[in-house]
Amino acid sequence: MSADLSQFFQVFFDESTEHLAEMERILLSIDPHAPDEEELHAVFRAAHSIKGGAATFGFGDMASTTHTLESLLDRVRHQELTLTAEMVDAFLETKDAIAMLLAGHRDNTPVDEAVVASACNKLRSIEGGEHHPAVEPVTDGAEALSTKSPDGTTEYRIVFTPPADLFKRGVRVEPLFEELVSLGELSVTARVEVFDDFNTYDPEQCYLCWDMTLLSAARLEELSDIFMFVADEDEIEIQIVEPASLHKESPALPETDSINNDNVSNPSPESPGRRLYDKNETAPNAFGRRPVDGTESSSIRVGVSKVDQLINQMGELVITQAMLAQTAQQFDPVLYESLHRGMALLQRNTRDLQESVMSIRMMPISFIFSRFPRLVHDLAAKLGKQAELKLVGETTELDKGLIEKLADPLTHLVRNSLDHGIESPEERRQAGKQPGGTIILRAAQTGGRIVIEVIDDGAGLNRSRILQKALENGLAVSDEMSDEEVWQLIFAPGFSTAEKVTDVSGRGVGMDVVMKNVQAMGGRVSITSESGKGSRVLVSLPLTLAILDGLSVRVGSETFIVPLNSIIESLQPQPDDLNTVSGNTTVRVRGEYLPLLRLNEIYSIKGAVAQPEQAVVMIVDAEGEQVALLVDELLNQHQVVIKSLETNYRKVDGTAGATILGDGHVALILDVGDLVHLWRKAPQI
Amino acid sequence: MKTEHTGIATNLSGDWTMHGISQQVQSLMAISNGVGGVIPQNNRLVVDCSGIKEIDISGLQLLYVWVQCLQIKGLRAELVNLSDGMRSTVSKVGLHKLFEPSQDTALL
Repeated sequence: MSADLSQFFQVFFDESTEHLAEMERILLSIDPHAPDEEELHAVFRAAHSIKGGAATFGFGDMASTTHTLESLLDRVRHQELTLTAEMVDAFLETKDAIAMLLAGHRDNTPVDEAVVASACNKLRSIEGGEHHPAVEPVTDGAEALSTKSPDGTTEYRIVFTPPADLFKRGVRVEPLFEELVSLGELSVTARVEVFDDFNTYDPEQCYLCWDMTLLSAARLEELSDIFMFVADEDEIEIQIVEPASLHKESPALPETDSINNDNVSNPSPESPGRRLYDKNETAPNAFGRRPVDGTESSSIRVGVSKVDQLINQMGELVITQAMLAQTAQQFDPVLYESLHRGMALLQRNTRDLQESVMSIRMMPISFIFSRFPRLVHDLAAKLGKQAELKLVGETTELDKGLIEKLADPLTHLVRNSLDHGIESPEERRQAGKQPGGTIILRAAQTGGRIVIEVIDDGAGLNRSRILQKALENGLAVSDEMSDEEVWQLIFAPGFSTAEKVTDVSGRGVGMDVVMKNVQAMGGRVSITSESGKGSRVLVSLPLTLAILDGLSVRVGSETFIVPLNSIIESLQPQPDDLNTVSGNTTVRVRGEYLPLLRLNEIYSIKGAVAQPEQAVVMIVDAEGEQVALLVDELLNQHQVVIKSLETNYRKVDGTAGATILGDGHVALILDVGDLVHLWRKAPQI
Repeated sequence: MKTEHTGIATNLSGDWTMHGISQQVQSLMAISNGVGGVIPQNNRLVVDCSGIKEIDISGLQLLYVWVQCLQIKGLRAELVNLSDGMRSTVSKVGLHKLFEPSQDTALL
């Protein structure tokens, strides 16, 4: 019976954040000239849910602000007001204000009351200024005449029979009465089931029902919405009563007319008096409704720390399983058949468990991408530019830890694209382009990594200006530098070619931060650009931070792990397939010449096989580029737990970390992309 | 937090909201079953509500049902010393009529 509401605060905060995000997503995509009815309903429902929760948990400021938003939304969705671009902007502004209030309650961050008041005032002025609805209300004039009194109020008769488990569910209905009182003159009478034996009384059961009369200017749907979270359709009955003035003049008329009654001047086939939810909203598990009895919620919320703990324990289990497997190899497979069968089963079960556990942490990248439509919308308006944002691969999944860290770098990149990349409409016209630019945000899983691209069709990077600026900043540059090397200069701290510093970008603190943040995640950033045609910034990140499938290889006496999903094939080259150009060896594979990277030379390992034709060549994918790795032999396939080298030792170039093998030895996990960069930096080795 | 009863009057106290109401039921059961040692004079039981810290609809429902059950047993309950907050809640949720004197119950 006892319930501490604070334990539900986090759920409310999380859900409200999701509702606000959904609201923003829809508002940004909605066409003010031809709004989709269902989308308007969805925005309304999101606002209504936030309001209901805020009122329940005592966040009056949030409830009040959302109520103002909801009121205007309600009139728009019922076509009493025509949606305009101004309204959409006001909705977005109010959404931001609600988000600020939410953060205030959740994180104790400061709340700018002026911003909240301004957003609400804007909504009220829009609502108040629109006296003549562009489209006639759904209810016709006859109904208005028959149900509205001269002062515009309507008398409603409400019978509320709450479910018996109302108290058990912890639902507080007192706010409901407060809300009804705020709408007008309310008269309430409660009835209680007759009891003759107090011993049978169950304090968790609700034996009450209410008869109410409300004189209010509010619309019937507004009343219905108040009951949305406490009552099912059959538990609430709202009837419109004839206006008092007409009563006196026509005493012969029945006192009340049900909406379903044919005597009502506006017979509605949809029985609005009984209607609690809009069309398609009455499904048992529809938005904001309780699941039907006997069904479970489809998801639960669990703290990230618990998931992390689970993953850490999973990692230890993987290592233990690998050690057991290694030990078991010493036993004769014939004599100890059941042991080996058990080990095989343990391996399979561990693998399944690991996949299941890892999937818990994976989140679609849409969690970050969803913020950019708003950013581009607002920033484009601020900069006087036209830009369209295209999101590709939003369902690509990424480790939650990476998702959170990726938000800031991507925001920098998108802002940069819009501020420095996309030209003004005039400049674009002069360049023979469409006045509106396009920014593409694309995510995809390639090999063992997630690749995120920010592509724009703007002016592209200006090579000469970057070189000039680098020279002014004292960087060592030359005209002979390749484009790729020149583009990398913009990642230098304090580097900016912007002619003027704006509050958007141009201070030169963005790109080096992007690079640092991405590198901290084990990622890389590369740029391609073409003058006048646009730029592409590529961010490559490891798929997960915890466990990966790898192939162990031997080089001399050392063992390395090569991520399985970056391996294309392995082969033993023939002498004819090997060529040496400027000291670098290439391998011909099906007519294509691939650079050969000798791990023994890169990591100074003695005793490794020097002749490629006597060793094994692994063809691997390094972010779209194929290279060959020279190793002595292929050992085994493993699931390996990635341990940070930086934490336990120091950063080792060309590696993504280390792991503990079944025999207790430490093996470096190769990062093929980084290995290629390392090799390019030192081509002499 | 428990309900106490002495002589012809009984004192209600503690939390009468959904959080604390379970604790109140047993004591009220004892009184309504006549095992609480209460022998009201003139079949009249004075119920002092001044100790009720907080009450919500679930508490008011319990109180009403208890009073109703006493009435069936021939005991007339009078609720006295209601706080302003309690009176306001009673009125707000439309339970005032249930506690009116016509029901042989008084809100004093």
